[in-house]
Amino acid sequence: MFKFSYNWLKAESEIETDYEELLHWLDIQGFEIASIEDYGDDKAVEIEVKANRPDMLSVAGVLREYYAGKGRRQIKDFTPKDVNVNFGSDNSVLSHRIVVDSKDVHRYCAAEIKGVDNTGETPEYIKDRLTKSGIACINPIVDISNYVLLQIGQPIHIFDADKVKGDIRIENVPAPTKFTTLASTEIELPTGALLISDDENPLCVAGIIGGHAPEVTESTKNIIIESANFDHIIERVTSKKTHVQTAASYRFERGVSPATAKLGALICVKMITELCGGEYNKTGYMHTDGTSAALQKMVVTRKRVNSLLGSDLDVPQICKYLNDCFFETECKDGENITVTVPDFRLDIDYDVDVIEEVGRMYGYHNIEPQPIKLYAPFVENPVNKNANKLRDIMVGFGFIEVLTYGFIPGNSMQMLHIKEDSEYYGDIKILNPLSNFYELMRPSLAYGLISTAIANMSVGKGDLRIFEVGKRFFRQKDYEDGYNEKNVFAALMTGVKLGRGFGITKDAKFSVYDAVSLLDATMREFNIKYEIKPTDELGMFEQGAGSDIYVSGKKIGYIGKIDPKVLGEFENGKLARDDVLYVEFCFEGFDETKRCIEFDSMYPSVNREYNFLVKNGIHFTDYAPVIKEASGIIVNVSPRDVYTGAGVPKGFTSVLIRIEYNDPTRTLDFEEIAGVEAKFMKALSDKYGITLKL
Amino acid sequence: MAQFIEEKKRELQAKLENSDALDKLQGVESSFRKVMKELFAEMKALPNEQKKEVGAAINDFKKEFEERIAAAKKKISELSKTDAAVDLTVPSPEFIRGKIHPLIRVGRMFEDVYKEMGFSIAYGPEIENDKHNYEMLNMPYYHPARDMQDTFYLEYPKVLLRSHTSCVQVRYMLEHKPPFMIISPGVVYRVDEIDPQHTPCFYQVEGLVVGEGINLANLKWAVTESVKRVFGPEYKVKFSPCYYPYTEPSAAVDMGCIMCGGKGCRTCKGTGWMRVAGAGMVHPNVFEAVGYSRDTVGFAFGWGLNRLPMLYYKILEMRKLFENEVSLWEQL
Repeated sequence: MFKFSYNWLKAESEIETDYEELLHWLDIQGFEIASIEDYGDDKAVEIEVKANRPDMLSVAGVLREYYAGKGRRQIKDFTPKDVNVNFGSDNSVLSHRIVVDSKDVHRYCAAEIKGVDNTGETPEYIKDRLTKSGIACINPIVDISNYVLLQIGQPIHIFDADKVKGDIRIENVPAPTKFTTLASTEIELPTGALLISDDENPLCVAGIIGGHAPEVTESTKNIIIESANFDHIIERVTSKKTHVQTAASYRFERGVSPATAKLGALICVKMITELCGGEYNKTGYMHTDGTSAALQKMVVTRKRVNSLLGSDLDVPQICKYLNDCFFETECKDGENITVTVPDFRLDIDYDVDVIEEVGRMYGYHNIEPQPIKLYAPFVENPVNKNANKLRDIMVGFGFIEVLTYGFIPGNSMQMLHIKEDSEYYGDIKILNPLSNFYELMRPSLAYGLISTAIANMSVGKGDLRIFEVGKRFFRQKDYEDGYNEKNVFAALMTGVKLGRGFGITKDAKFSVYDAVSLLDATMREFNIKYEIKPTDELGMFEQGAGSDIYVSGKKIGYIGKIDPKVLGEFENGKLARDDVLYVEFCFEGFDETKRCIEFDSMYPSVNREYNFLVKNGIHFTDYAPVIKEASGIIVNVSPRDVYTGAGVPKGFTSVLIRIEYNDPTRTLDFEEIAGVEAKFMKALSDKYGITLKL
Repeated sequence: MAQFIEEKKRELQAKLENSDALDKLQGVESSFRKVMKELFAEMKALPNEQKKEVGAAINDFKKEFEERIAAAKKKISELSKTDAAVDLTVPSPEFIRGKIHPLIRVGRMFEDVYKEMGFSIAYGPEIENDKHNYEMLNMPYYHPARDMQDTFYLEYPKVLLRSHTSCVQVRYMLEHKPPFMIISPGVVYRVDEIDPQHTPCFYQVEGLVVGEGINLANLKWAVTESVKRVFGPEYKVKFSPCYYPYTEPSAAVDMGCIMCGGKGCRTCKGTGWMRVAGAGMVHPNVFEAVGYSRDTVGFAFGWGLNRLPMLYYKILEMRKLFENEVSLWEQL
């Protein structure tokens, strides 16, 4: 972000400016107008500046961009004419020796002024421009340093020379080092951070923030002006690690042109001597490591420009656009263009960067859309396909899809009664969560669905069918970074499934059998054979009412009735008065096998119902095959109802089973059926003690 | 003869009075036809001087009963209308349909459109590492653009929750050679406090097309075309220069505001445009990082989907998308 006063820009401009025109140009060049403050005769305009264009973080930068839009190819020279400081490499020309001992210092310009008077008022125009840019005014010298920062984008630091003891030394700290800032906060500099110290004290964190020791105040008389260029990487790392971001660090970490270091010092010298008096040292110190001494040159071909943009520009056009934004061009063969990058454009590293400049100056709106002419084979994504199929199945069953966060409360495992040794226990935590309510990567979708259900109950919606398709996360030592995740499907149902009225005499509510029915119907849609094995391992299910789901011998999920005690752990959990049923399984790897339709027999089926008395613990999936084995004429065995209560002995369940008999080659006679009945009844009795309920 | 006619009349009249349904009335009609036949046969046998008189009597009889039967028919059919016991304006609660979450609905619209264009769908993990999420996307550890995507970490700085689905594209490129056209839809995470307009996770659909001859004009087509197919041909799309470390040239994509149709309203802050996607030509550094030649060409785009269902279904608060008030989704 960069905020500036429009009147300031207008005052700096060498050509007539038009406010609307400026805003429009900035907007179409991708510098979004973030805000405009109206001061009547002036406007403070805030623009969004992306990380690649730090050159736009100054009035000079915005002015250059305005010139580019107007096609004025000469940029403004901010060098003060009547100041003469001769910067040399002798580091002992100032009252303090300057020792640069780091490869992260690309430039270090130092100038000195003696006998300043800092007790006066900062001129109105400076105050006005700083305030509108959101910078507080402190005293004339500090305000001037901030003014230069906003004007040309060069951070300036000014030391009170009388407070510095001995040499000024710039070096990387060899180990984490404590530092107290101007704001009196103590920060810890990471190893390698650039620290400026004198013989006794640390003075400031280079390019980031100053300390109290050399602070410029009203009584300051002699100053040393630092206008330097520090490496963007170390600036970024230090700023990040110390959580200190200032107008200076913001610019350094994005990149400041080394070319403005000397300019910054000169403007400071001129403004300070003009406004605060004093006499400047005609000799200054400049350290340079040679970075960006020469302007960068690269070759861009006409063909590459047009093939990347999908345009049909000729060489003169390409050169015109580049010249307009201050790139120099040279082309001898009508194809290869040698481009010289202006020193303030630190973001131009490759030919594609230059091509983007051509594109933006040509105007993205002038590029005509062209259909893609590419043959790329289509590859089906089975997870996507299965997820969408599950969604469609659930819509058919009247379920509503929900989306919950991937992170759940830190204490959710305790709430769900999932023990630490369980394979469904989750302990993957986020280091910087929004709060401990969003801390744990979910090992199951159960928390999200249960809390969604309860939230709906608390707004009076107690009859629910909801589902979610999402990821569950778990640790896996031998996998990538030690974490893995699977796409799972989960559904929750509770309350009335079929309401009283229209032929139904009593509200029918969801029971655990409905959860099984949902699972069964879903698996049939995928044509997948599954098994259910009761388990008490999952604490969130009521004792004896939970099962694991297996496919091809592999556990893929679980199903059951949520323990009311678990619901009680949730806020408002007591609102859940009916059974809450839950099913979750991983659907990765579901590969629907092709089905053939079996044509119906020409002969009529015989359907008979039997009321079995089954000892608890014996499952339908155990004894149904025994029935089927009795004869080939049994084509279907399906449960119709289960019942416990009056008339059924304790420890038993009455199960109503319907059996369909059919032979595709003939009509069945009743005697034959009676024979088959006798056969499976004997087998059921022998194997499972199942009898007919009389 | 006159007496005989009177007798038949009485018989038929009695039958007619007992007919309260159409099927009974049909019985009366057939009896009536039979009687008529009988009477005309009888008449033929009469001497000629009597024929005229009797004939007239029979014709009167015929006319009279035809009218009576017609009236009876009308009455019965009217009765059956007004007396109907079924009120067909009362639906029973038997059939209900489920609903797909609005984010997924809009996501699927995009998926379908891109599949029609020939894109395949690629997925990847939500727990990612720095390499795939940042480094291979031309964002080394010191890159200021990382500020744009405040990230959740599981292990600092290596393991994180993906801040975009571009890492899926990186993984795809590591495993496949061009040409290809893919989209990578999915949930992404960024540190953002939950308030009416912010959530810490949202839904993205990113696209990547790599192959010979691919250019910015193709990118403009793919993005513009998908807006027109999903939202309607009347929607305009605008490209402006932008910056992403992983694309160069880069573009920001705006589409005409769904709320006001481009006239300018509160939602679009009076501009008539909504920022909906970022896009660009894939940076050669990214191609190099995944082992491709730097001369490879391709484009990438990324839709942030959270705002679109909000506008499409007029959901006023973004956090509502994750609160799942069932009564809201039931209205979809």
